Amino acid sequence: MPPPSAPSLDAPHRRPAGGQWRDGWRLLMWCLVCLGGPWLVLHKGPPPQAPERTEGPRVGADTIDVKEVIAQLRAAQPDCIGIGNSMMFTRLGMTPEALSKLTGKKFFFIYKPGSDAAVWYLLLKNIVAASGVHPKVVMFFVRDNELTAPYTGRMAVSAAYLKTLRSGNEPELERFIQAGRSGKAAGRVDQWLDKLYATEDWREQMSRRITDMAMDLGGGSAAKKAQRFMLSARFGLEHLRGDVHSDMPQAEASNLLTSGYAEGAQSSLLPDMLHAAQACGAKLLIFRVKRRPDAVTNLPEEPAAMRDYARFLDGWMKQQGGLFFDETYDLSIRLSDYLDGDHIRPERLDWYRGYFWERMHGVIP
Amino acid sequence: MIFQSLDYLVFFVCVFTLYWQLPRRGQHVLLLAAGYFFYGYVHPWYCILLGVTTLVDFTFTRLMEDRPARKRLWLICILISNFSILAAFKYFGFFTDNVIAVLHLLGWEAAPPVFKMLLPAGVSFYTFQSCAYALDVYRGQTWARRSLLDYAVYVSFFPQLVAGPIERAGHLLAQFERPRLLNLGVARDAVFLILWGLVKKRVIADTAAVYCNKAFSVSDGTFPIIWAGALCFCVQVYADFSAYTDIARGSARLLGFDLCQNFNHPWLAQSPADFWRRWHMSLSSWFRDYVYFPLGGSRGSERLVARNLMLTFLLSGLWHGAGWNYVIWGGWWGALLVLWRGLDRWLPGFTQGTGGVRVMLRWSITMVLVNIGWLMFREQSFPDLLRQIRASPFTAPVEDWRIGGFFVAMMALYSTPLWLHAALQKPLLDHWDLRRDTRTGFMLQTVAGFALSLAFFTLASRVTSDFIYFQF
Repeated sequence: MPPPSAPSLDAPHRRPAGGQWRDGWRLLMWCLVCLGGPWLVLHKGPPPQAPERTEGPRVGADTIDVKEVIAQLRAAQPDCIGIGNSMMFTRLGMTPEALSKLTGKKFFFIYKPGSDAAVWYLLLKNIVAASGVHPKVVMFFVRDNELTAPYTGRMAVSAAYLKTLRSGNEPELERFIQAGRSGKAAGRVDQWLDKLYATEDWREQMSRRITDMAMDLGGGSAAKKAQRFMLSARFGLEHLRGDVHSDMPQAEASNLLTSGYAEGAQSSLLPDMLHAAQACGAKLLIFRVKRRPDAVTNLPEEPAAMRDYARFLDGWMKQQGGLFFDETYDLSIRLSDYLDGDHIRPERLDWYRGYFWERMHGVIP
Repeated sequence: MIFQSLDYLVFFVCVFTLYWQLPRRGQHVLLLAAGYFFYGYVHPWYCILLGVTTLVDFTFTRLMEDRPARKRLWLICILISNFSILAAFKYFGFFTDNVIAVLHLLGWEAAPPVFKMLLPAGVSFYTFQSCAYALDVYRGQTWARRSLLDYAVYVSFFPQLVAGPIERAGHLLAQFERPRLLNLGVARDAVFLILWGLVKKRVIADTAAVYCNKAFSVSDGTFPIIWAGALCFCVQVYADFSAYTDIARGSARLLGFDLCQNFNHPWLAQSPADFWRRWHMSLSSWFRDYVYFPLGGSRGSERLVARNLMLTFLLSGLWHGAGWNYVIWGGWWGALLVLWRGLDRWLPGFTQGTGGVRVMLRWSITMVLVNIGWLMFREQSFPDLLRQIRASPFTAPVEDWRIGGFFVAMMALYSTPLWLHAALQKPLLDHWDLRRDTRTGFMLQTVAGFALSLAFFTLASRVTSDFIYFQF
């Protein structure tokens, strides 16, 4: 097929007509109206809403009643306090009674599904240290490098939960957040948008309102509190497929990283956690859990840098008077012990508690 | 590079600013460099594949014109080269897994291959685009380009490189040979499309993904949870893919190009055939022109037509992914089209009637069928798919019905902008003729732009993910 006569490539292209600058300015103004206009509506943030009390102060709630947990802690006067996310409660149980009975020590657990270092730091500082109790050990149950990973802003915990945990200005937390964001231009833009449009607060409140509306429309006559509980129970760990990671963001983030773990530890909240634990006379214990292993080798896949990181953390913790335990290469924990992702089966909890105490009884006095 | 990232914004602003300062040849060189940078941003070796596809197809299409006696041979070379890339990178794992499974059934144990290949993003899209060009040259519907630069820019044009629309030479390549123009109306339309795409992705698709993943994460899903999950996926996949197309079209318009339409409100479809005329239109027309018609199309006996439809849709399913669920999904659509043709013959009053009740009934049936299809598409495990299809509505506990109802209500609320768009677009275009740069059009677009920005800032999901069609 013969080509039609096409204009030469060297011919000057038709630039926008004479008024290109005027058009450019008009377009810019139009964009400003569309993007800047919402600032007038949004910049002050949403009107305050009374926080809804949900299913309890310690597990799965959107907010936490700090005073109530402190009162419980004072009443318990525990020997050891465990802080963590599902890595902890799917290993030691939802309540500490069974472990306390097994060990003869008083345990107390504070956990929040999907939580990360920022939440754990505030739980330690504003609840444990603020309560005035003197546990012998404060332990964190962690996976990979989540204790010292830089702040990503992709937390599975709501902003409202973090807000209720804060006690006025939190300079260490702010430094940690800034350090995480300063490395990423996208994080800085998010921060800037949040300042300008109060995006975090609006998104939190709008999402809650739409969810409430959907519950009214589709959830039948049950109260919202009951519906939320029903939802969290229906999609709880015991219902999940074996190949589903319950804490997807963390799992994905740590799989993507292949180096630089130790560098992240330097700007993390770990030194502040050590200080907070020491302030209440406790030793800090980091318990690194084993990821779901491969069926053949019975070991999880992890980059060499992660092994170096675990060695680094071990050495550093010893230097600081803390404790570190890593179960990653323990072959006695098998694939069949796992429920989904990196969580242990409920029927293996008793076995796991025994395993835990066998290794920790010399460490927890 | 993904569209909803800051990286893309910076990249695009740089390209756009430089682009309009350059003469046409310079613009092409810039677009070529930008295309390869965009494609190789995460994995630079992807660019080798893109380069190989471009060079092979360009050379052999030229040979088709220079040595027409062996035209068929050159075409076969192109098809083998393109489909080998697809076979190696997309279907190799699927093929070996199945061979091993068959050997296992026969009592032979074979070790799986030790190497795994990463599927290059969008490989199915640009190989199909390149194949379409070669087939068009072979058929004499277009001519073999003499400029490698023009052709290379056409294959690597970054707005549509990784997830389409799959363009034809007659539409897009021809635009590279013409002067292009940007004016206020076009630029405003383009920015509006990008904004609309971002809202569809970050507000609708990313939120729907949360509920869809939840529904498909349970091992004991019951009827209401499974079908609410399928509905969530229906919302997610449409919002996600059409968002990509909108951002691609908006970006291309800002560079002076017009990409073809890929969606025409598929949720308004009243039959399976109508759905495919509205959904992923660039792919459906590709399969129609290069597979269905050459097989004989709608000519011949009903049996022959049924065979052609089934083959076309099975291949279309396989194009989507290397998995049996995609093949089943393709088979499902093929079977539906065949059955609907039968219905068309036996009950023309129902399939062609214009009464309100008939239209509503046709629409409802089509939507149910579409959702069953999406369940097949989403569920990768065959045993789980069977379990889900067999789930009975009568055994589900009342709590699960409440949860299903809640998911459906969430989707109804979040997909409101999509319904509004479907309902209002035609009347607005007809009554005010928004395509023309009128004052009313300007005002309406400004109000809509303001509302979209407001939605983005207040409703965007906190977690975002890659576009679903990147994996194909």
